[in-house]
Amino acid sequence: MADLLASGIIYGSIIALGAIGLTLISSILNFFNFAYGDLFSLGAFITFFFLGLLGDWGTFFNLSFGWSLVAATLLSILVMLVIVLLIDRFYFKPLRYLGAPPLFTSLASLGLAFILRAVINIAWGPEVRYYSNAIQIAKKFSFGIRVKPDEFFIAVCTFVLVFLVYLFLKKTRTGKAMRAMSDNPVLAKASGIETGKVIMWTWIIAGTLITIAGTFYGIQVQLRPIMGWHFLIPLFVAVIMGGVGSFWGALVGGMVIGISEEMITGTVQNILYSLQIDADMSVYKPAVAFVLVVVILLVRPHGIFGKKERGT
Amino acid sequence: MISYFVSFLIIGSIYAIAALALNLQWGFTGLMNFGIGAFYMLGAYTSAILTSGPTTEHIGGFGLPVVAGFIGAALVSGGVAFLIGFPALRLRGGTFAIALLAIHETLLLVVRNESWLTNGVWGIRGIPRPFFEVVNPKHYGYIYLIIVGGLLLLIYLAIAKAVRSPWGRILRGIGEDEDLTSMSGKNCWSYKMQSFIFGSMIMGIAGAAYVHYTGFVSPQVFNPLMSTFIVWLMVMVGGTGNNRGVIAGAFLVWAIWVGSDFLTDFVPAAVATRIGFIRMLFVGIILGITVLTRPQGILSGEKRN
Amino acid sequence: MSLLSIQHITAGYGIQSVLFDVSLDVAEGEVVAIIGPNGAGKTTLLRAILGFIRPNNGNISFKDQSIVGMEPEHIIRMGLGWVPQEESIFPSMTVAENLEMGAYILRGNLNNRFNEIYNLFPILKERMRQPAGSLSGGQRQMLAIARGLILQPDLLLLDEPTAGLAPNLVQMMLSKIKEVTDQPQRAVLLVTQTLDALRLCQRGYLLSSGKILYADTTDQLLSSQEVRELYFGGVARE
Repeated sequence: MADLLASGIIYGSIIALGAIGLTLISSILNFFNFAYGDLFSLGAFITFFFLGLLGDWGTFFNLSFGWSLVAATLLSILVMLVIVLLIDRFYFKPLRYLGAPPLFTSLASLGLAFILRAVINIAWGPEVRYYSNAIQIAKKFSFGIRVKPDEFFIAVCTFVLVFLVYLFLKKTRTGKAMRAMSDNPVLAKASGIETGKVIMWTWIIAGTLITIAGTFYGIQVQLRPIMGWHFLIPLFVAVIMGGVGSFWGALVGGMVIGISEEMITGTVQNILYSLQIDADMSVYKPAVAFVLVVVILLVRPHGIFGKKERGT
Repeated sequence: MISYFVSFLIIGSIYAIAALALNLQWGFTGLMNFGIGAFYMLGAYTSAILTSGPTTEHIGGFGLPVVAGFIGAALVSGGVAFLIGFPALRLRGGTFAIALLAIHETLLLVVRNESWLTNGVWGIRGIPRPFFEVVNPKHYGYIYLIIVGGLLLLIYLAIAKAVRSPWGRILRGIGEDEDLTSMSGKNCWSYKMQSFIFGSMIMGIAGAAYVHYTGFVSPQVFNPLMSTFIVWLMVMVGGTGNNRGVIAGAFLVWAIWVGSDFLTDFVPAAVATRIGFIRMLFVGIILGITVLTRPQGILSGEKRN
Repeated sequence: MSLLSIQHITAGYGIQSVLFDVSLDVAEGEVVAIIGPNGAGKTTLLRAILGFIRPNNGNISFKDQSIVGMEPEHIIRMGLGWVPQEESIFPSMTVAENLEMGAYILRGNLNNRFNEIYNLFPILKERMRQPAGSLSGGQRQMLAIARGLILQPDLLLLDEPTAGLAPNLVQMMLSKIKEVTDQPQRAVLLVTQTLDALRLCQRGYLLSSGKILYADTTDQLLSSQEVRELYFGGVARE
């Protein structure tokens, strides 16, 4: 049980990283971005590309990867920021200018999702890739918890990143303007908040987080072009569960989904083993997120931390 | 070449049926169904299980007549829509779309993994094709084209009549302004449910029509691109809320899709293996262009007239 | 000299017009009311002034400069403040942060302005670290006005500041608004449906079905039996 909890926390922190960016996009740009999962894949693959260029620079803390992956991730973030800002400029900004309703923009983002996935497949092929082939020895703790150094690294980095984003939103002028726009866009505009600047910063934060989340997923699991599409559902579930626009909601929502996906499927699997039923429950992990969101929405239609829903 | 064209028309008609169903849900009622593939798949598998011959590979093999397969497909898709509708129709707009997308992915997991029910990734074969014995197999396409063509016409007429009726006017009212419609004393939830079930039944029928043509069904067919997204593209290209336009959009998009297959001949062999993704890119770009250049047909309230 | 001058504007949403040939003036330091029934177009008029809606016809000028077609974020920089009737605060942000957002366009040390606001609304100082969404209705309304005032605008647009408040709070709110309107440099355009609020103003316009029916001094409007009966339900509401 404790072991499932530990791996749930790792998985949950990757979801949370993605969900924080997605909840900002959803509330500030006021539409559900269905291309967000494929941006997750793209970030991971661009990191993979730079990793190939940089080669091996040695490692630290017994990680399966090393300094070159850190450098590759930073380069990948830069490239991804250029990509998301160009996408916003030439795809979403014209739609905003036309006054497209949120549902329409969501549909447009679905088209973008397929474009991105096609590009990833054409550039890298549909094969499974890994950042590293090294096998990691997990460190054993009491209660049967086994944690790999990579997982420690992911958890610590997530914690630091979430804290930095929190500070940005809470303390900086731009961060506060972002929250204001997410809260009440009309009043934000009438307070002189520059919509364009806030939207740019939203993409910068979301683009950075999604690239890191994609890379973490690549470290923890593997790289596949389709991974982002499958990751989109837990991301959205975290956002909806936490209440669209809520920073803490996205964080808690991501953790809840990560932990419950691991624990529920793991527990059911154990029960099936003990009943000597041969069935692989791990394939149903994604379904847990779905069931969870149905339950939450029935109980609290605006999410746990939710506020009144708007156009989206 | 002719048989190629007949096959194009048959699949195009099946997509047109699904596009009409989406148009009822989205174009008229404003329900953003991102899970078309789920109902399409349910219809396909229901009919396959009901009508195929006895087998040890999976459940079913009931060997029922094809008509029973179609009826079963409609009932199961409609029934599942009814069950899903209870939680999902409480959601609005984008959240509804996300829920339906999640339902599709979840059902796809079940179909892929529960071999006892669906034979998993191996799929179900030996699905009967109606009137297959009565003609020369070479000309079978014509027979099936008449069947799906008739089905398409019937469904078009039914939907066209329905949306012009008082019932359809209320649906349009909900699509345009749900709050206003509910203020005028209409039970929006109930009408949305009816539209959702009716549309999903038609999607199920489209699924059944598909399997009785190919004689084979496997989960690969129901990936989101080919079963959901392409139908959305057909509706957008054809003009949301315009039934005849949507049918034209279905054939046009399907023609582009089939036509892009010829690209294989013109690209280097190394790229040719990834041709499917180039087509995916192509389709995504078409949607992007449609969205950015034709907002008037899609955005304005006049579209529904 | 007129601070805000609206000349013959026709405006609305999409092809549907809500305002027809509306003209209106507010001089520097003047307190002017817009009265009228629900759906008369009062809020639409404010939205047109702020640049959220572009008039189809006519002109709006502020400080002798046409502001038609300007973005709201630029219009408010010219010295126009707005307190909307609904959704007038940032609910998930604290009271202090709401005021900060009100002063978003200002740089440098704002302590003086904050203290001024807190002197006018002491309760907001007590609650400054509380999320605005957790305030009571009256406190929210005070925060909304405070947010609009912090820029010390030359013209404040107040949209039904007493709507939806309990009767005992209405009197308190009116006295606060009086403090605001008494400041000689501040012009106020007050949208209202109550006689008491009208009495704070020097002049008033009666807007009905998108047209200006009367424009007169407050005394004249109050003494008009027709205005009282039609728009304030006779004397009963006094």
